Amino acid sequence: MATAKQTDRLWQGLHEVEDPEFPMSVVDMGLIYGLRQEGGTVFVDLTFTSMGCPCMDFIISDIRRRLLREPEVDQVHIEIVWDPPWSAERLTERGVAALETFGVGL
Amino acid sequence: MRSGNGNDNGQARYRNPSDLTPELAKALLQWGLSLADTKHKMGLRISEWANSGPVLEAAVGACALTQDELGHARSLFAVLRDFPGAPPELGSETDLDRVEYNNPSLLDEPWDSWLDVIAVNVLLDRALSMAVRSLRHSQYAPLRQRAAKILQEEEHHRLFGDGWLKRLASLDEKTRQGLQRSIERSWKAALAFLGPDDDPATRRLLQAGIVDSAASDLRRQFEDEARQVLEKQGIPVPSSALDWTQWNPRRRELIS
Repeated sequence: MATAKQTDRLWQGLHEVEDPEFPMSVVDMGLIYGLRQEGGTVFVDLTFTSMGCPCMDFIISDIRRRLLREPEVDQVHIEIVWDPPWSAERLTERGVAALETFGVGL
Repeated sequence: MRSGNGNDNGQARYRNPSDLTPELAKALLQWGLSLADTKHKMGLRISEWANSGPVLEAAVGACALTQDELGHARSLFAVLRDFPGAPPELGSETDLDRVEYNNPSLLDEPWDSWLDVIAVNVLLDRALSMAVRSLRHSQYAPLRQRAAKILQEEEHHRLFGDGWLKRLASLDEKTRQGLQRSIERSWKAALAFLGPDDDPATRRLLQAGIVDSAASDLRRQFEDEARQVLEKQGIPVPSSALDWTQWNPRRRELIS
């Protein structure tokens, strides 16, 4: 199992992965339902705001590429999770603030 | 990448096609293909109104409905493509190579009028949601978890369609007559999609706990809900008498 410090680094890495449609990270968007590392493999539970999201492949690819930049990570397994469905309540405070800055009402 | 199992799926008995008997896998594949193909074709038909709705808001709404329906179909295709006997074209990410679809023929050709868009949304799409609702506690984990998201998105479809129905029903007599004709077609298609009482595929899925409602229960739920929606706007409710001897189980429709 990864140490807390390693897991923190993974979360920090995901904070650098931007949602392609909104000016915030996939973490602040609330798309990451789970993140853990076992050996050299990182497991990500990921959801999307909509089943017809046209950016799914971009997001998956960006997450994988960013996590593979971490030392001691050589594989990334991404699991798509639809339940519970994403809603605006998944946004972090920083995410809500970012949307307000850009004039998106909630 | 693989699809996750989500909430409560620890309780689901089946997680992939190899957990099913061949008969059950065959029944689920056929039922699932009808649902996915119908959503796919519905999305394509509605997309044709994305730049020709009667007002700007209608066109924007059509874009959103299209995105949802195609997304639902894509997500269901991903579940079905590993089943024995699945069409090989399902392996394609875009599913653009399909040669045979399993949808009611109402969705085969472009519609003449926005009235058809709304009638299909209010009735046939509502019937599809009834079918998806029967997966909410499914013993087949990948379908159970998708049902939650599909139903969340379908709530917006009901608001859109029922709102437009109210608007159209308040217009002139010619519009109301056209609306009634569209309603008659979609009503029949919606009931037929849910299937006859003795549909062996649905019965098999019910016995295995993959769906939690019999076809007769789904039709009754649909009728109760849709009848209220129509009567509220003063729209005559069509007859529910259907000749099930003419039922086509692949397209889930009555051959006219």
